[in-house]
Amino acid sequence: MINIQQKQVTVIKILLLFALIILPLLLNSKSENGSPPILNSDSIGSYESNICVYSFYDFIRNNADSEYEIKLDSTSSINCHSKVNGIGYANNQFDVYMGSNINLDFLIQSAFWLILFSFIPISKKYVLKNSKISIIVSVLLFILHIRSEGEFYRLNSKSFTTDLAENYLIFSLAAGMYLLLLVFTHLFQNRFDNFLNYFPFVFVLMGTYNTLNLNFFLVCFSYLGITYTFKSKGLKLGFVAVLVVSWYWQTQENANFTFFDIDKLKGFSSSSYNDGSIIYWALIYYFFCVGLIHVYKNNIKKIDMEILKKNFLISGALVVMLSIISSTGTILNLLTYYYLGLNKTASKSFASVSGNAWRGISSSAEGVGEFFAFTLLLVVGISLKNKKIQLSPFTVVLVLINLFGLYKSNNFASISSLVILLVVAFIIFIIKSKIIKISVALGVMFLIPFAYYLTSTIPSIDFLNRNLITESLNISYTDSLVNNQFGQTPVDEGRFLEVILMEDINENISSSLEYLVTTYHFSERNSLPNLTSVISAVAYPINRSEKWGIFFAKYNPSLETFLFGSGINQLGNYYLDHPTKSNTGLVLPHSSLFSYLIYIGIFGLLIIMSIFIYKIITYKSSYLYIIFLVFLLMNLIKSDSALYINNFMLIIFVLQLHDLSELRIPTEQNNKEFSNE
Amino acid sequence: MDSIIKKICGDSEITFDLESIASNPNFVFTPDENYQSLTLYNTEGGVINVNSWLECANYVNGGWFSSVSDLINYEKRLFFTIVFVTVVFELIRKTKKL
Repeated sequence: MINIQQKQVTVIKILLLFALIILPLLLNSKSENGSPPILNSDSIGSYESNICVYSFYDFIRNNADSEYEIKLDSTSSINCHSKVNGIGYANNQFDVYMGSNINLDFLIQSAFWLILFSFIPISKKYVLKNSKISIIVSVLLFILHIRSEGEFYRLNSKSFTTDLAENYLIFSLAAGMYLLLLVFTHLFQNRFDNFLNYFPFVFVLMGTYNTLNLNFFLVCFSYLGITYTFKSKGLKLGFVAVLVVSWYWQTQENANFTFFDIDKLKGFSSSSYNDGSIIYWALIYYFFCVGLIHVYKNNIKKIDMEILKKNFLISGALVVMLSIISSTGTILNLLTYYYLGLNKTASKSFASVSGNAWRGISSSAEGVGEFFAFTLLLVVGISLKNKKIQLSPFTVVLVLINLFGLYKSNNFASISSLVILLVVAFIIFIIKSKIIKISVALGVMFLIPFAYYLTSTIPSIDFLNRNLITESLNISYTDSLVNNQFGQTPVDEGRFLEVILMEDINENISSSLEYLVTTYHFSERNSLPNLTSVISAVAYPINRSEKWGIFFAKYNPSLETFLFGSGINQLGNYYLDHPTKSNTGLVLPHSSLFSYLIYIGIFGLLIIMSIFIYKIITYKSSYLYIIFLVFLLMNLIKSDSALYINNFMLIIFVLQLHDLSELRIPTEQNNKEFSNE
Repeated sequence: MDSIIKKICGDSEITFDLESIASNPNFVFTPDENYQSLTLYNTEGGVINVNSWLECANYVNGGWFSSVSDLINYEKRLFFTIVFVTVVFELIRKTKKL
């Protein structure tokens, strides 16, 4: 009986999901001026003079054979939602603009994701205390966010204003947020124990709103964080500390910016730099981390490892398949973008970006590459540890699809760290003889540099030491430099100090680059490398010379900003305050360490590093856990993945994995400790 | 209408026949450096910035307005719908003790 009821509920949920896809298209489907004409160069005039008249559903029906690209007109009013709001023609291609309204987007996307969330099996009820007051605090924070990033919202709604008087646009968003959190509370309380088993699906359902600079998971987990903060004295103290730090950031003499194009970081990065946005992102980040850590800590021992592994593999396979599907047509591309909450539309072709990476539905090829690699590391690592190498045919297919995804993402750092760490896991868990262990380890240690030597060009030591500075100076405004008789600039000749001391050049040189050049120039020529040479030499083999060169050319902190940063999730000041030749498009630092140096300064970075070191020392006997941490660290140095919300959730998840019994070596003491816990 | 123009565009000593401006498609408004730019809206969702008192008066005379709250009736309806759904959800939750 219960089974039949459950099946009926599941069918209803699936029907609701379809309804949420189809109904918005039918919302304004009564085209006022008859049916839309067939799209061609003759009918463009008709479309242009009938903005917000033809329904998008009718348009698709009448233009089944036409070729066009769909784009969203995100500034649309409610009555123009899902109507044809414009047609463009450029490069022999029609662009059709479909109206999408901020209020309706929020409701439709939230409803869709809440229904998907409800598919997590029901477990024993977990009561969230202080839920009502926490929802109200979340709504107030939401209003602060909207008002502090007014320019972003003005670009997403023609009628947006930060003035609250009779502003039903903001009121209905706030009411929608209240309803969303109310429903989420109900769903979450009944699924608490099972949530973590389904965590990997955050890489399929990314949850970023189309017209809001917010993410579904950020909203929900920060709300959970608020409920936990109300309960704990320590967390309340943490809250006060965050307020003090954000007050400090506000008092810094950094330039304010009303708009910074966050592009693929939408939903987890500030689009403006002002007092309101500094305090909002500091608080929301704190509550988000509290919420995540609390859920992970309380749930980690309830994980069913078989389900978790399977869900990691299924998520990876779904990412690959949905990426392929969304590259096959413009309508599917739009649907995946909207209903999976992608940060930007999926790749429109199967070809790689700039000939080297394919990101599919993900915002970053690097980020998704790390996910595929971690999935394989988890599945194979646990199999090696348990010495159960046999995999079912279904699992083998899933592993192969994940491998394909990893190959297409072309994330060399993830692939190489995966291979190295799996070899380490093999040596630790499978080889019993100490002599063979040492021989294999030495062999691998020799093979890696040898393989690199065979496949790459090895530059001179001098080149390695100075390459980063050269890249940095080339991206700075140094056009007034005079070439010598051979056409070389002083930068090419390696006269770095002389360049940065030139009066007209000096003001275009960032403080970090100035420091690197000075350190390099005045360092003693002994066998000890200086800081500049170390960073430069590390950057070259991992293909980061150019990207880190751009970072140092742009990173222009004062001493205070270097020590304590300029605010959580605030890249605007770093990106816009010190102009360089690389000011178009979102060029990220390409290292999570550098990104966090901007956010929280060297002081905050040291705290994060000490958490990693503490975990490594405390759980040194849990070899597989250490392997996971090393994997994270290796990838964080090279990629920006910590800036993407799903990768960030994965990092916090991995940090909590030490409590998982499957990762512990089954010694008597470990078993005893675990059963005591 | 004069009082609405005064309310939205502010006081001015300029006297002009607004109907003649409206009927002249070639009329060009000269921006007034001393005039604080205003954003006006119309019922079709149109948005325009006006840079002189005369330009402002002309548009207000044509039915444009300055407060977004006049425009967003749909949002108002949506707001009350969400409030209604929230109340219903709470009632169901309480009666069924979900």
